[in-house]
Amino acid sequence: MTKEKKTKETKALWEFPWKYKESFLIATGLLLVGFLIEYATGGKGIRTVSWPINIFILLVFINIIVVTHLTFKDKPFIKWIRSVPTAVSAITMFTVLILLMGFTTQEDQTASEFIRKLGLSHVTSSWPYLMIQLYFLTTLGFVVMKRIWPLNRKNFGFLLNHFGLWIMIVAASLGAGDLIKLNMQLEEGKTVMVARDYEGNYYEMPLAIKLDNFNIEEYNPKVGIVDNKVGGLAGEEGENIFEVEDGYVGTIDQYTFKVLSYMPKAARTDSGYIEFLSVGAVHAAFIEVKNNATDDIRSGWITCGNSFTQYESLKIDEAYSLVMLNPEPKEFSSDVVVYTESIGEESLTIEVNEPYSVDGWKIYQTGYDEKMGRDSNISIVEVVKDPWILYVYIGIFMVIAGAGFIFWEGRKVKKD
Amino acid sequence: MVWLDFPTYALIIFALWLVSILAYSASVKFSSLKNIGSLAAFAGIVVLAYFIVLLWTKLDRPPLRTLGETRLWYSLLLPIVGLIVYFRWKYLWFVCFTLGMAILFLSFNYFKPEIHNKTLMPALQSVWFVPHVIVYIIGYVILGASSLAAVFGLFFFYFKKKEELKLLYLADNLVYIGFAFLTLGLLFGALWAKEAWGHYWTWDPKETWAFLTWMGYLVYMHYRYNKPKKFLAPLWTLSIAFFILLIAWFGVNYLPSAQNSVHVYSQ
Repeated sequence: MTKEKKTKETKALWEFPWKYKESFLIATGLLLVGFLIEYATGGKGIRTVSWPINIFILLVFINIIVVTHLTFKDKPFIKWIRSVPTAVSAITMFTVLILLMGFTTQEDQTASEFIRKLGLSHVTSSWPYLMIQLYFLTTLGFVVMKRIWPLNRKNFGFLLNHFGLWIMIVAASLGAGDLIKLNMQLEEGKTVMVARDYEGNYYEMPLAIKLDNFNIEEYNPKVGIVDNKVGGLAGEEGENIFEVEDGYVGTIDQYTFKVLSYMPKAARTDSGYIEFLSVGAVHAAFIEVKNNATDDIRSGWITCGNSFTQYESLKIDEAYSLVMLNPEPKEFSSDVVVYTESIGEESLTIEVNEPYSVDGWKIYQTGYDEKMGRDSNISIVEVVKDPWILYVYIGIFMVIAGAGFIFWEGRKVKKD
Repeated sequence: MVWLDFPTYALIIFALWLVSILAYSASVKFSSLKNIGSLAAFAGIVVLAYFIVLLWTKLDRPPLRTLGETRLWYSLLLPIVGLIVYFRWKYLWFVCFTLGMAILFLSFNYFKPEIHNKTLMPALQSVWFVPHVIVYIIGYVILGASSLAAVFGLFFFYFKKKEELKLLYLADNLVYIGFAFLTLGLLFGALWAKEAWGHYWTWDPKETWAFLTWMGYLVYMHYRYNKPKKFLAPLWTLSIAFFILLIAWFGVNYLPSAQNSVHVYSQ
């Protein structure tokens, strides 16, 4: 009796049922084959597929899973494909590949020949990534088939997570080839119909945008102490720095600062700065600095400058100077008129975090002429078309609901 | 240029939590001291919560942008998790440990104060900002707690030659709850990114590491489910997963592959 049990436990490798050893060997093998193909093809990676090839691949993949499941669901090989050891090996080896990616700068032109040929400089479009993802989606697909019926409470939570994840990854991967991302550079008063991709090619758009007004609001600039010899900000990053404000008094080390006057919009005259509410104005502040160690007091104007006015700093003593840093944008937006065939024309404002959708396109506020800062009359928007987004969202919302299930049900511990 | 009068608040909280730890420890002999321990822990939580509200109002933005600011939240949430776990499963050592960790996080802020910095780049000004970060912090705290349980489990195994199954069950409970929060954080981030940057996933280094963290706990959950009788392997998996989590949280700031990430905390 005991002998029999022993022989059962020491089953030979590759003898069914396959367990962790076999699963990890297969997962590692797939990854290695991926690296080999990548290397053999010179590290060119794989091209993303687009319509209609992606739909074709999707249908074939679903068919293989469904038909194979229905025909062979009790065969040991199929049982293995949907087993937990397979899942663990797929998750682990996927993690290992992404770990390599986490330590390697992606899309790095300076990457070494070897790294590039192995595909490690472009992991997500490489052969090893494709191989391990296929393995991952296959085991996930088969386990979904197994649990899809009966749709009881337990299976429902399971499916939200597993099927949701499958839909999410499949839609994101196959949809990547149909994703269009273009830039449009708008100029106040002009109507623009062309967009540019990130390689510099121009496209005529099915919509036109006229920029009426570009709006920008800035934070007050920050003032910091710089080391006269080294040139950079003194001390640790962000330490010797304060936001300028009329009447501000503060102390850094042995220096006490008083902001006697601050004008967000000013212009230089012979005797200092005066308020100037027009294009080309600069931020300027009159600051008094007292060195508490020597009681030495100095004061003067400083400004961060812009394309019309040079920046000015204030020398505190031999070692340090006071400078004003360029202000950071608080919010920016574009008042535009959008013209399309379906809606005619519509006036609206596009803001960061508040894109506008029309005819399957989404328009995002992304930038402006940073050299001109708040005087910019140029606004850069991104136009994006992502026909698969709905399916990605379905997957995402399924997994969000699934997370609720995990939270609520917790672990059903088998206390044995 | 320090946050309001943070040192005063910090000292009050330190005192309350030290009293709490002492009372809890002494309650092994004098069990009536337990309530004093819980009361002091709770009082510290209230004071810290009050300070965070003050800071939020003063900054005019959620204090979630710098590493120091997130440490405040960890210090707030760790003892809360500790107390809940204590009331639910009666782990005295656990609540003391979370209080100790919270004191440690707060003392970082005490000894290395940060300055007020109100600026928040436009892309971060979104309704998603608070839920995304808070959900993540809760997830990290709970998963951190599960890893504590794992470390204790390993300690008992190697030094006391004892398999503390209770610790493994505690880790299970915490991982399931923490994982749910981690998933929400990840997906809220994706939904937000689509609205702010035009795409839901860009393999930004922080995203990459968050994904790795998620996968790490996924390995643990599947393996535990499949091999409920194994003791050491799941505990080691949990320790490794937590190590990845730590890289995702602040290690990414120092990785050369992450210098242009929107996710790197400001100093």
